[in-house]
Amino acid sequence: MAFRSQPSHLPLDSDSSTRFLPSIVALMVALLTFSIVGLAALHDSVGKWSGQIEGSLSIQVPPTNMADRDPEEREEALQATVDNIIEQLAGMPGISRIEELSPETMSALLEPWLGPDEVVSELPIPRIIEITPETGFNFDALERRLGEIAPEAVLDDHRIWIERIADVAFSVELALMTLIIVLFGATMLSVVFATRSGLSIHRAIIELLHLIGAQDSYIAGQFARHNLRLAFFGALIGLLIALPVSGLIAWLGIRAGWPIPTLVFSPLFIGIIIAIPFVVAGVAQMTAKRTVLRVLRRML
Amino acid sequence: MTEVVSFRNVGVRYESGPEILRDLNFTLHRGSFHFLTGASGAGKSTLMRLLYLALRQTRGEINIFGRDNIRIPRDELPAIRRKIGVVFQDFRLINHLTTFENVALPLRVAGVEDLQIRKNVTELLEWVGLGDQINAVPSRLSGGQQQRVAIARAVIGRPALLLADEPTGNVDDRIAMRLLYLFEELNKLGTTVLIATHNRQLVRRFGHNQWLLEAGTLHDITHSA
Repeated sequence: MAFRSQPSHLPLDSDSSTRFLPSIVALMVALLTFSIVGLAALHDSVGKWSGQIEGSLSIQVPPTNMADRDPEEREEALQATVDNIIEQLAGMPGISRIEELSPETMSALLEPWLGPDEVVSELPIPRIIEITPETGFNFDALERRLGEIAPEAVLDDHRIWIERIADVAFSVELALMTLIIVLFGATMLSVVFATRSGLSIHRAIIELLHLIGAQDSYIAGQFARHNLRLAFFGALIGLLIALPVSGLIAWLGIRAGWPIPTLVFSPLFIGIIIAIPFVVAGVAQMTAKRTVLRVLRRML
Repeated sequence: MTEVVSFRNVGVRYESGPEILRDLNFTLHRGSFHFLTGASGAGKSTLMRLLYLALRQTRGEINIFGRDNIRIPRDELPAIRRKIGVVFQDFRLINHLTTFENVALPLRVAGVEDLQIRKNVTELLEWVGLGDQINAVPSRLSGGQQQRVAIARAVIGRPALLLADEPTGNVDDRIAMRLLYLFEELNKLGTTVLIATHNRQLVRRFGHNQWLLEAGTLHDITHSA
């Protein structure tokens, strides 16, 4: 992209597009930046959530066939089963940690639904054993072994949650990607309309330039340089508006306790943000050039 | 003699209207000098537009610099147009550019170096009496001065063919003579000149070939005028 100044034979700076194009590009780039920030934050968060879920397994030990026993006897039997499972599985290859979820943790998890722990302790609640597997862990072998030790126990690898999170995240990411494409398309259309209006306003000068021997590329170059400058200026304004606003929204959201996805400022993300004005300006330049060449081709 | 332009049975009509020009047959040789006269509406400007490749004939054949105008590929047109200098009746100066930049335009689009442009344009503007208006924009110039800028722009690239539509219409006799001498100087250097004018007195004084365009047809009146 060239910013060097050349004598412009078309008074493009006095066109209405000179005021209109930077404003519309600024708006588009602000929306584009919000979308990219949102997409990156969501992508990072989904990765973290999936990693957390994928990095753990749980075994539910239900109090099956113990409904008629008194609570103390039931808890003792359940505890024996849990201890047996932990003892038998602890030696299996690929398991880095195995432990029972403490009664306090269970009570805290169930309290929002079932009330204070006094009530919880009265109920036949399943026990939960948490397992942290190592990479390459053999899930099927664990399932088989658990079936032998305690057939009533249920192994949960959270696959259903991972799939649901992945589905939702994919849908939101797809929507944001579509929005980004639409915004790019709208920016290009704005450039096309501004360029066509410029061509129409300066038709007499363009015809003159043709008659004195100007190549189409010479005329198109003047429009392209003009649009490059306007789009770059507009994109910078849009970026300077969008970045602080994104930060402010995140800060307010965190203060208000909203589940705001967290964003990691990776080199890729920073690179994409820095590239926005250049990409938008480049696209505007290319679009203007192609539009002018297409229109001029129809002139004698 | 080398043919610069030749017309064979050329006719022009706009859409389904009557023929504005019909059965034009002539040749402009290298170094020739012609005056084209005719009443208003006779088709002088249409003929000029055909010659500077702003219009295509509806019938017949036009050869320009040895090329059939219909068969010239679009990307080769600029190179041919650079060999043609045109003085438009309405001047067609670019209002936001200075006198200097307006005259320099053909050299700029041809990619001539800045130093050369500065030298040639300044010299020519002095010659046409506009040395003191070099930085003025067209709106600050009189009609006659604008006309001289238009002429300077047409001749700055030393064209092989110079077409001028009423080039002396807005200037006094002294300036008109000076401009015609400029055209003659160019003509002596080999430029083919065709001037459309109403000024019969000027035509008689210079004694070059004369064509009369009447009701869309062209007549050579050099010896009968």
